[in-house]
Amino acid sequence: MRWGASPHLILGIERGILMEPIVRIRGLNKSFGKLHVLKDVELDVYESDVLVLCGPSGAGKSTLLRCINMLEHFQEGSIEVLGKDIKQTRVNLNFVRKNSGMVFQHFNLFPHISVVDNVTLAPILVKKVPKHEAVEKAKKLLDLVGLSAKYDAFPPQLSGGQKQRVAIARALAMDPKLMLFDEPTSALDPEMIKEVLDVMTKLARGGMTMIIVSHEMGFARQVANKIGFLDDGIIIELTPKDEFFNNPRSDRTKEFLSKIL
Amino acid sequence: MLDMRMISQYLPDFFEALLETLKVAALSGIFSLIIGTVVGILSTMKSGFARIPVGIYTGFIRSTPLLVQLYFVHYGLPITGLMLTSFQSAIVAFSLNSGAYISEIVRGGLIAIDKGQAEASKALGLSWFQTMRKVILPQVFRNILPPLISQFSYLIKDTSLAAVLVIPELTYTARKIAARTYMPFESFGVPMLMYFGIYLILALLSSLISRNQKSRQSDAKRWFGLKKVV
Repeated sequence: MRWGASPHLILGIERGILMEPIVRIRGLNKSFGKLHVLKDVELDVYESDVLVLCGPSGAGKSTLLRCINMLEHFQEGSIEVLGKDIKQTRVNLNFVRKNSGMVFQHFNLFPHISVVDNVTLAPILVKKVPKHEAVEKAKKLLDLVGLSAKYDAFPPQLSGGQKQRVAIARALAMDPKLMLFDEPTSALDPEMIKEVLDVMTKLARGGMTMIIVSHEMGFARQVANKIGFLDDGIIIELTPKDEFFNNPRSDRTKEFLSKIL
Repeated sequence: MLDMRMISQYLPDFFEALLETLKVAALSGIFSLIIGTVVGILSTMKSGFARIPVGIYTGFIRSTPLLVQLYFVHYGLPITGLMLTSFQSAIVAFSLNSGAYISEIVRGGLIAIDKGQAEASKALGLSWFQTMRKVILPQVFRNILPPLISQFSYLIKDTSLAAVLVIPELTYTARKIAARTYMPFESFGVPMLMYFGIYLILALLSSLISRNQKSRQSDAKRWFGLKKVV
């Protein structure tokens, strides 16, 4: 009877037990030399979660994100993405990289090839998609991010916001199950931030699983369903969005929120 | 002063010799480009296993005279059982020599590429080899083209040293014709003009390529500028 009385409980059980997390991090420790940047981090991210990681600079947010596709090596602990332990074998790591997309603070577009080629490069090389199919898909994705007019442009000719939207399209071209955003708007002019956030909002509404390192708390409030707060390499708080903003548990979080809101 | 009759009589020989010079230069150029690229990549790697031998190789080549290297390959190596014809010796010596210099150029070009390029490639699932071939090296070669072409022009001039191994290239042929005709002005003047001609072609090519790159960018700018006005 209790089951029927509380659909939320059932949903919770489903999420907790029946649904495998897309990212499962256990006991993660990472140091740069003597600097201990991530301390016993544990994290579960489920399908369609939009998790925003925030916190002061130097807290380890970007490092944590970069560990998830092993752009950063870690010393202890395990990270499972889509059920594969990324540290176990090279095959697992390649699988995870193939099935996750990453967007960087400084875009990291390939400047020597056109926008379309940027988007089709990985599908053609890694997934062996025939060229005409890849191009067709790239055009659809560029339409999605609002850059239909720039197919044949080269990255140096684009504005920062346009570059970042191409970078998002490039990551989406691999049909990722998970998108990682490393401060995607930090290098942008205020005017261009919105156009990038709009694309990300569209993605989130479409059900994409996303982990976002960002200082855009307004965006977090609108789009995220979970917020993680890191300080000094420790996840201090990991809660549903509303609880984070309305009812933060730790004093450190309260202090942070009072400064930024 | 200028004996045109002598020049026209020996012109076919000079052109044949020019062809030999170009052959030596082209073969050495291709091999040195391969050596330079591989060694340049190795020299940027973190592990000492790759870096230390590479450092010894480039350091040694750059601190010894090319003429001695040429003699060593041709007359010294046979003791180890490696017998090479003079043509082969010249190619080996020039390739190793030029390769060391090119590796430094490639190394510089690699270091200049932003780390984010490799990170983005990794995140997309590209292998190391795919990243090098499709992302990093195309950018590197575009950037290092001017120093690369000037290195090739050094190489072409250096091939004149192959004369000491009796390879019938321009300098050797010039010496032979000078000895036969007692006309050193014409005998060495014609090859000099030919060397200069090759250099001119290379320089022209270099400026053409760099201008082409620039104009492509400015064309794009103009195009986008126009679109804004409209």
